[in-house]
Amino acid sequence: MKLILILIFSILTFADELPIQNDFVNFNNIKGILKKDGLEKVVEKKKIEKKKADIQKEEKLKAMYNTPSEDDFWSIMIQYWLVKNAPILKWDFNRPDYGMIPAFEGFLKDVGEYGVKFKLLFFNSSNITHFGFPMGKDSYLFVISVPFIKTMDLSKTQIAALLYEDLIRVKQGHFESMISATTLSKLRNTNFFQQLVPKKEIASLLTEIDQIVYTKGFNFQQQYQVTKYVNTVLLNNKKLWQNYYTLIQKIDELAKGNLLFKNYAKIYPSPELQMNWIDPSKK
Amino acid sequence: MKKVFAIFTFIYLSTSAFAAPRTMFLVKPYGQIHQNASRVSRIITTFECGQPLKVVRTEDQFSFVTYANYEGYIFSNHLIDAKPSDCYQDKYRKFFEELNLGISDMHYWAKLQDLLVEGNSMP
Repeated sequence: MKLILILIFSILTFADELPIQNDFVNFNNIKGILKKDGLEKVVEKKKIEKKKADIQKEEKLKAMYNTPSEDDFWSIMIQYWLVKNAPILKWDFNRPDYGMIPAFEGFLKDVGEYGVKFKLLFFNSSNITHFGFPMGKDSYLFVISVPFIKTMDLSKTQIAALLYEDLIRVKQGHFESMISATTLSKLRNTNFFQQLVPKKEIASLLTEIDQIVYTKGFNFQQQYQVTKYVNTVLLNNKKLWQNYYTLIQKIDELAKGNLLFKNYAKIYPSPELQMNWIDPSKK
Repeated sequence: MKKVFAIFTFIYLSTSAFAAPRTMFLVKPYGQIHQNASRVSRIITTFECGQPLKVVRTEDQFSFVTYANYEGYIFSNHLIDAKPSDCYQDKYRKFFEELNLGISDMHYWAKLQDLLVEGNSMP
């Protein structure tokens, strides 16, 4: 027992003298050799790689918080709006295609409007009549009410003229100009990493679209610009122009005589004025 | 001559009849498979973008697909050969989560893909 105690005591006493001055233990003495081996370079390289990997990891995490790009934004939000408004618009119903795709494609080519990609959705409600939405670069979505086209007994060319008017309205930026710039800036082409989730802005965008589509509509100036442009383009083709004029006449009669569509002139003011704006005899 | 014709016919029929189903991926945000090859036919189930489906055969504009115990028809242009890299759910993960879509919303979003008709005025 005594022997063990002496042994422990002597170890503790001489422990301070460790480490032994030995070339194999003192790394300062072999620094040069390590340098020659290139180990330091390997360590440095590994440090850089780790830093790179960390940055990539953070960028990946940050990218998860991206909001939709310019190209995807309207496509996502308009589809989302349609989904949320399915019970009001009643687009989930069985209906024929009415052959509108070739008719509208032909119409666009006739007026020289090339490179347009479009989607068309028919709905079975009179809550709105027709509307055009942006869907990204050169892409558009048009919704059109079947009761509206049936009540007026519109021809394919007349429906195409109506869609063309909607297309010009979107192209001239009237729809987007009515959405709050603050809402758009927080939802489009930005990132909300370590920031508040843009929940309020998403809800506000849906409300703004509701207001434009259902109640507020477009103003006289916007409608004048659209009508004048469409008129100028269609004047080159007598048949198409005649169809456009007849269409506006039919809409005017409908808006004045049918209670279901009395709201029309509020959204697109106003068919009567439109006729005056393009009437050749009033020039 | 008849023998050669018969052999070729047999080879053609056997290869098409026993062709192995190939895997394709849903490219729309949501998609549905239907009981029959029609956009308004009864819906079997709804899938999310990027879902792999086994394509058994293609008929006109529809493909007959299977996944686990489900089988039915889906629009062929809703499928692509390689796993899509631009599904909104992946591209804008947190934003899409914030849309807070319920089962009913997903159903409608998928239905919308079937009911939208597309065209273009490419020269």
